[in-house]
Amino acid sequence: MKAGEVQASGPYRYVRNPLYLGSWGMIAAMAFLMPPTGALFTMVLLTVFLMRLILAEEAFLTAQLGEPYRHYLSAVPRLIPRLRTTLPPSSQQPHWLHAMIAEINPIGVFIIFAFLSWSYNNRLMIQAILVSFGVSLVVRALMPHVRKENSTIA
Amino acid sequence: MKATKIEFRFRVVIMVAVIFLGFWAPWIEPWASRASIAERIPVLEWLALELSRHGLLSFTAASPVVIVCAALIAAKSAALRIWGTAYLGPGTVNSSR
Repeated sequence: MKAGEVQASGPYRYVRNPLYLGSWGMIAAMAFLMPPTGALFTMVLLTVFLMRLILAEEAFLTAQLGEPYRHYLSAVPRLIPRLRTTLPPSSQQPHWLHAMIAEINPIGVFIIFAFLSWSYNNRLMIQAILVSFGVSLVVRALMPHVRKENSTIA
Repeated sequence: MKATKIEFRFRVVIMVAVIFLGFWAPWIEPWASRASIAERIPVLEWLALELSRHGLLSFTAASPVVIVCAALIAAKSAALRIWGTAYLGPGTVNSSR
């Protein structure tokens, strides 16, 4: 990254950590299936843990990229997305198919809540979440490029 | 406050462990069987009960409201993760000049 006008693509123009924010939301949805104290435990611990990961990642990127990244830090909020942005879009092209395959688990969690929750069968939903997680692990293991590109995220 | 290298390396394992503990909640009943864990009242049902207990909604109306809220959170999170992953690459954030 050279010094100059900072550009960002997709959600990174509105929020710096969309993947961590998405992970937090996915786990918050899963917490609806936990006992209340288990949900509280999970959300408190994971919020602290994700914040620690974000701070480490941002410190690393600031050290690596310098002034342009500091400009990006001041222009884009860390976790609460902005509705409008002044940051110009970069030329980065989206890879939607790759993203859909890489994000099988959050898609699975959504499908479970959208369709299975109406059965009011908690055991079935927990089992379905385990299956969704298992499938996402298998897909990542079979597709090395998915694993590699997502190694920088949660 | 920053995560250590070990935390970063094992972040998925740590997150899975915390989620597992959240489902298990061993402080409720340490040696609970899988069947009894699945039969505990989940937040989904507990929230609907609380809403009806406080007279905000009847239990029959509160249950779908809570389910729709959970599904919306899951939908927004999945959309955000797909959007973020689709644009992840060397040019995600760059400098033009």
